[in-house]
Amino acid sequence: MIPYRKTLIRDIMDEVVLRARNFINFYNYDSEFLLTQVIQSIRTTGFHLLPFRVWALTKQIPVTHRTTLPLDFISPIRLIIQEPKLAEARLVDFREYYQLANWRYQHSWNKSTELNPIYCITGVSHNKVIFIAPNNDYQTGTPPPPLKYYTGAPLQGILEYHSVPNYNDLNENSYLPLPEEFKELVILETTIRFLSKVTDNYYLLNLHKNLVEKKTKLWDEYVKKLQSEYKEMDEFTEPIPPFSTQPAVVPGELPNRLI
Amino acid sequence: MTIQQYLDEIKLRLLRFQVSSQFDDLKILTFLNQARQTITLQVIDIYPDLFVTSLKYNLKNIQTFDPLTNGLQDLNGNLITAYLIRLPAELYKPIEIWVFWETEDGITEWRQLRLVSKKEYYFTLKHSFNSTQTPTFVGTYWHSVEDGFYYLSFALPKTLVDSNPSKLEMDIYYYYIPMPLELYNDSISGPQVLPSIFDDEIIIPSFLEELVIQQTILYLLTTIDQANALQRCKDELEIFWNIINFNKEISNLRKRSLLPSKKNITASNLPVIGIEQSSSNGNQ
Repeated sequence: MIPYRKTLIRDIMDEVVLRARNFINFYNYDSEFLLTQVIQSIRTTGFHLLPFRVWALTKQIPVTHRTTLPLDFISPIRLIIQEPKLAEARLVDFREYYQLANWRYQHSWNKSTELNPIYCITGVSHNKVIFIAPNNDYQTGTPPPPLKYYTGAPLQGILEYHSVPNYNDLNENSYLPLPEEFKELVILETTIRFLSKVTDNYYLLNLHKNLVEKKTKLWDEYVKKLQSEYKEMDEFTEPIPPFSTQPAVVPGELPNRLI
Repeated sequence: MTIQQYLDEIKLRLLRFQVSSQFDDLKILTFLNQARQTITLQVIDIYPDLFVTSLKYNLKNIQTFDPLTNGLQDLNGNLITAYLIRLPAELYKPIEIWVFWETEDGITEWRQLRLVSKKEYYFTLKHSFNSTQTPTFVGTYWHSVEDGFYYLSFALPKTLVDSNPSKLEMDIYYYYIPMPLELYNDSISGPQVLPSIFDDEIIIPSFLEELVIQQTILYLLTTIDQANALQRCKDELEIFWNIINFNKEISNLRKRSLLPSKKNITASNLPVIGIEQSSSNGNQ
């Protein structure tokens, strides 16, 4: 029967068992082991697919200032601040953070404000931590006038980031957390892992070769597609100088001497 | 991934090459530790944000002063106090150093430490308007071949240190290289294998674990006479590196693609005749 629904982890396990049926017997089959290997395959394949489908492997978490990011964090996509005001925070380098968030020495017109918040990713105790400004860090006592502290509510928002699935998030009844078109890669990857335990030399060798070929082909196609896209983009964007070449016509206007 | 998961995964992969029985846990762990450091060094420029950690120092407890610069006077006659501290072994490069103290009014002051070259450090401290009396303090760091550690020398105004503020602290944010994982815990429970105690491996980001595993297998295969297996492993590792490098290239290309033009503005592509011709070329 064709399942008209999103693939479950259980479906992948079934398919792996079907492909490796000749090598499975009473002594070497263990569903727990197979499940672990499926999850590991999903993680590996997910990492491979990051450049292919940058919109696919995303996750959302609520964050505030100094929230520790989960272990599956790869890179940030965007941060939408919901409280106290709706705004998209801009990503800054950690080396800029001091100049944009310090209550005394911050930049005059580029500083972080409620409507123009900033965030950066840094680390504390070997964990990845997000810093969001403006905030109440190091603000004690009464500030010397005319300086003012940030008095608004702490900033809260939703961080979207690239991620690979966690071990604990998946079980047999979870949906495949990757686009369906890459199901085949997950199955191949899992089969080769499973057969590594069962170990049939000849079959293993062919399967490994098959997997590497498939990945390389996918990769080459993607590279070609990207190259043609950028070539088209190059042809499409013509340089237009941001000034007029017409002579001054309004009396009193300075003559255009740019050319 | 924990050490145990790393070991399981590596042993499983080695089964593909039919060489699993030639390696024990400790040999794998030795190369695993080496691979973690190698991979971190290779990707730290691509994913710098993922290898940052911080340390807090209470400067009141630090009584080690830099003998070469402590007590200097700048050209305005202001005295300085110069500290000398040893940085942790895992340090790769400092990013940001912040100094905090609380004034008599209860205000917490937050200042950045400006890192300068060691060559100019002495004269920066002596400078009239660029010395450590300015809003940003001055410091320098270097590596010593005598003991293999990094050192940080930095200077604060002596008036600040002598005023004895209620807290005088320093936060250092730095890039790090992961230190070796241990499988044995001799000091607590004697020489027995206790992987659960040292299992908390959170230092390597999860999506780079695959690279670490591949690199470990590569190291392991180089120790035995298995040229075919070694070549297969190298090929797989190369695919991974292509992915990472190309990922970086794509992100760079995307940044450039958003600009209106990538060509230099020259006289030949300026619409010198007028707007009519530009619009007829479809440039508007």
